Amino acid sequence: MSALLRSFDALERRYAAEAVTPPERAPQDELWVGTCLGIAGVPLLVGEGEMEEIIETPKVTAIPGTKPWVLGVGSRLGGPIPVISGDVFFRKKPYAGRPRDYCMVLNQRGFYLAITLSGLERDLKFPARERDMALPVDPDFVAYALGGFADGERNLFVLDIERLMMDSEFVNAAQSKPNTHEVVNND
Amino acid sequence: MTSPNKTKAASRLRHLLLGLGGIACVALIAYGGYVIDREIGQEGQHNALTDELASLAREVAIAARSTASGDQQAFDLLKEKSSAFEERLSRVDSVQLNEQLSLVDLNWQPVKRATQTLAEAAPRAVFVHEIESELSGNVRPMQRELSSVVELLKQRQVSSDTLVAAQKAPWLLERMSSNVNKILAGVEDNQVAADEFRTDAGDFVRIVQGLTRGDELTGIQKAANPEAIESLSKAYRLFSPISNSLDRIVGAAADLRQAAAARASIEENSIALNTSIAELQTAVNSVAAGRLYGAGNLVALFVAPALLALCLLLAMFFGQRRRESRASSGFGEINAALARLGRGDLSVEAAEDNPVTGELARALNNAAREQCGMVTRVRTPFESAVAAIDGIRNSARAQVQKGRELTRSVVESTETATEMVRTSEGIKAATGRASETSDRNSRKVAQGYELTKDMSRASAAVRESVQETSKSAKRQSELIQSVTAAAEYIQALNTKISVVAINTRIEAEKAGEYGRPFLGIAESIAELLREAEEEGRKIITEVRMLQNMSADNLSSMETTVGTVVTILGYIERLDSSLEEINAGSTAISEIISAVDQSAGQSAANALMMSNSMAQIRDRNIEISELHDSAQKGVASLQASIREAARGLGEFRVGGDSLYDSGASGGEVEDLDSFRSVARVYREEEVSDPVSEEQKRAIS
Repeated sequence: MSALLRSFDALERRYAAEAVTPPERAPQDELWVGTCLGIAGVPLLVGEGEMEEIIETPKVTAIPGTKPWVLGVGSRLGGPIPVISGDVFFRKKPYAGRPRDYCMVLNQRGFYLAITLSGLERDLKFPARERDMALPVDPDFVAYALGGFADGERNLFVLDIERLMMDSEFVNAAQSKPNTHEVVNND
Repeated sequence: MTSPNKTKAASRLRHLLLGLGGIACVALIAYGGYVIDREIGQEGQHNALTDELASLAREVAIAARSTASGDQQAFDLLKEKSSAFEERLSRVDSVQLNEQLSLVDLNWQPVKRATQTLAEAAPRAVFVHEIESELSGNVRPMQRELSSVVELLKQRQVSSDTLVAAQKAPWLLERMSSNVNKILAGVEDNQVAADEFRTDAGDFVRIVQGLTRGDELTGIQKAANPEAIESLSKAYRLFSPISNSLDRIVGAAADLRQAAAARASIEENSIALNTSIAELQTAVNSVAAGRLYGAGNLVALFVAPALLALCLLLAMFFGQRRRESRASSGFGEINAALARLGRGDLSVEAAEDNPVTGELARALNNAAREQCGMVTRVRTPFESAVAAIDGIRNSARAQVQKGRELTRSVVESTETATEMVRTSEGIKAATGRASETSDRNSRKVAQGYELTKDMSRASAAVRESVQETSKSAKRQSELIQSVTAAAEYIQALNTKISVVAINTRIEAEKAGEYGRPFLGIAESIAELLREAEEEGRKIITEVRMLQNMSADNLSSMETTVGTVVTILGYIERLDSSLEEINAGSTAISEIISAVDQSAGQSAANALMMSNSMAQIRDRNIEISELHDSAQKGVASLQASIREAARGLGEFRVGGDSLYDSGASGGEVEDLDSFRSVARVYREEEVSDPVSEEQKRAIS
């Protein structure tokens, strides 16, 4: 038994003396992954895992008594989905330009909706250490930006979907003073 | 006898006034020395105090600026300098400086209030500064810990909500650090920064607690790995000083904003304060100097003695000069009168009002008047002879005048005749040249006809060629539009492929480990799409450039066609203009013939004028002979009168002369000049300008 243990000790010492050490793994930069798209003509980034899908803008049915940026209710995978106009919501003024062909579907914090897109590029990756928290942002998007990255000559800011979902203006789509022509008679 | 007495009295008075003036000068200089000695006083002490005030005002501004760093020592220094300024200001006390002192105090009050505001905000500023130092030192270690948590969570395949929350936490720290800096700087929107800081701190704590214990509401899963929990614990421990003092940090924003406003107020008001202190320094210097150099003192010390001494000197100088001037002018006048008497002028009179030479002048004037009376009595017989000679002289002058007028007429007629002959020659030569030029013009017009025909043919050919090219360019434009539509369709297709790639990537992520192959496919599609998009963009850009160039070419060709049509119009107008020029040349030839005939007629008239001038010449010779006889009679009378007049002409009485040699003593020189004019126009001289050859040419 002792001979066997000595043999194991000798084998261990020999391994310690002669074995080749494994190559060290080079530290890899953490990559930030997201999708580059445009809302109201502003190019921006949406982080990985924050978007459900991109769909063609469905035909919508208008909902009375809602704010102007609610286009109406459309259909997706057999169920209804509210469609929001990104141009009207962020720019805070009516939009009468080219029809938006695509929408971004969001499904977070119990909110399930689609926002119209003005442009669509592709998935992009950036080193996470290059994220700039003081990147200049379009004034209408400042409240929903969480830093950003420089992509060549342009700056792409990251849209903070979580903050958008917590915005009281966004989550309350009902008109504060509904325009009604009906005469209310308490009698 | 009274005049010398008056002169002596005046001299004594002048000497007395000069002595009094000298004594007054000495007294004024002594008073000046006394005033200078009295006015040197307390301004030295005021000068030192105002210098210290200026220095302390600058030090207060510098200390206020350094409080922005949040250092306690800066606040203490500011307080100390402010108190010192107050103490120095209270020590400057002078009635003459009241206005400047009140101005300094007025500018000091806002600075003093701002200093008190800064002193009140000092504890909170120091506290936020310490928090900022701690947070900026801990941000990097906390981010490292959280990054390692993200790596560990990725390995364990946690939910996307968990991963998103863990990735967000480091950036929240970054923004909190930035917002603490804004709160400390006291910028205008630091309340917004404070609110955002509070929200971010809450989010950070929620994320860390969610990762430590799990949170069903936000979908964050608990980190099961011990290393991740250890890292989260370390990060939370480093963050705990900030989370414990959250309310104090947020509450300090208003005070720090007021502190920043107070710093700006000190910066702004310290300029006016320094200016008012500088005015106070100037006033301190000028108080003593002003008393010493005031208008009254300056007159008393320097100006009055100097003026007095100057007046005394001027009085002496002008008195002496007046005496010399009177004597000099009196002798000068007597000398001039004697000189005129020597020349025979008995009308001379010297001035008798000069006190120095008055008697001498009176004697001289009496002698001249007696001489004048004797000469006047000799003058009367000569006046009748002078009147007779004047009558003869006037008659001779009238004759001379008439002769001159006749001579001028002859000269003008001769010149006119000569000029007419020359003009006729010039007209004949000019008509010859005009005829040759007219022939040349006719030949050029014929050549012009041929050229316009050639140009018309060439323009028509160019127009047809450009129209053919225009048709080809239109076809090219249609093809380019078709290519553009195809390229835009490819772009739309690329967008659809992009949607497919993004959705594939999203679905692959949802499928977790099983979706990895689809993730690779989605990335490959995205890469291919990027290249296709770049190429598509290039194609669209180049096709649009082609479209623009084609449009430019079409426009250029249309302009060319328009230009050719315009040129054809010009050629037609040129043709009609050439015809008009041809007709004009014929009319000019006829006019030249008429002018040639008129020139011959003019030459004949010139010959007739030459004959008339020969007759005038004969009459001139006869008049000349009559003048010779009249001249001889006048010359003999003139000689006898000249002899008597020469003797009397030596004397002048009462401003006029007995015999005026300029009017009646000279010869009748006008007759000579008349004779010389008549000799110029002899026969040969009149015929000279028109030579025999010219006469032949005229005939």
